[in-house]
Amino acid sequence: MPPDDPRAAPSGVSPTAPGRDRSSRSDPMVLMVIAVVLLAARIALGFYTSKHPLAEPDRVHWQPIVFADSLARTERKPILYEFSADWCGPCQTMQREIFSDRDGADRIDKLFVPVRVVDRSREDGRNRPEVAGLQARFGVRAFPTLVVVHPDVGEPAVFTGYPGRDRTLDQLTQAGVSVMTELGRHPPALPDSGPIRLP
Amino acid sequence: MLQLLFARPLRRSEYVLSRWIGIAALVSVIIVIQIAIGVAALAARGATPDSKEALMMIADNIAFAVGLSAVIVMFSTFIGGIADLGLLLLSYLITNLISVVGSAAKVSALTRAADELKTFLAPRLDLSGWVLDHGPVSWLAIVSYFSSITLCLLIAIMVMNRKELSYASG
Repeated sequence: MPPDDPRAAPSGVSPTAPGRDRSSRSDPMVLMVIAVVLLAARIALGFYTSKHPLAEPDRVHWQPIVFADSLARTERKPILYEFSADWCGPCQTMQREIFSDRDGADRIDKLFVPVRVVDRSREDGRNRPEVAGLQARFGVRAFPTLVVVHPDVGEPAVFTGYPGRDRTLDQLTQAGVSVMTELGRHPPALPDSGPIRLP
Repeated sequence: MLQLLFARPLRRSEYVLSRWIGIAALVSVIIVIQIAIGVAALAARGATPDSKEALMMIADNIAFAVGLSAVIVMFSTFIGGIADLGLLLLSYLITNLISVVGSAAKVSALTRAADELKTFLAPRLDLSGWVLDHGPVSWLAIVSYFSSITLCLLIAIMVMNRKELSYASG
């Protein structure tokens, strides 16, 4: 390296490895590429997510209709029948705010033997016999309808419509605790329902 | 300080990245100590929190500290002293203002812009979907988090690279 070369390393300082940019102000190309790729992915995912929102998981441990009565007697808990339909908007809101919510689902599981009864008459032309039977038994005319009942305890509590998470959980809790008291069972410790936690 | 630092053969990008790592590491240690004290206080009263949730809280807060450190490092390259924190607060204020105006006027574009700004200025990484089974993992949230950090650091390095620092100043 010629002595007048401004890039010459001063004595005592090892020269920079060949090919390495010695400028202290060099722009970080790797970081630039990563940032651009991530930004592009962010924009693409933003568009994709706006078209295909994430499906919320169902956290309630739903039981088959045929086992409901025996489970209710064994566990000494009331049955919660949830009558809904895939096309029902309020049912989806309830699904998101209660059944997909950790605390809401926990409360349902502790208080009830939960049973989902989905109406398929619009899609399939008719319902399965056990679904039609339950709808007729509780006089279900609209969705969602929630029924709290126990095979050995008096009248069922029927709630039609979705008045919101807190009110629905209050209604269900009161009905569930009332049935448990009639069964001579202490109500379980329940989670604080807290504010609505939307995803 | 910077003048002395840059007299050595140190890339400005390395300075910015080291600063970010330093701030993030310091805040992370403080967070871990704070949460450990909180858990110990709860345990002393007989209420031991779920270890998974405690770890989740630590991970969440550290991720937030790492993200926020990148934002602060970016602002600190714009303006010196503690004015960078003022700039950060001002940007939060403007973001909230846009959000309020968007909600009041029902202009979804404004609300969306405010949400994006919030994600950029306060990057959060929600790991609960994986760890606590709180729902499906949002890849958008994860990508947004790392995108915000890399953008902040990139901007910080670009600004720092273009700064003229006089040895006589300061």
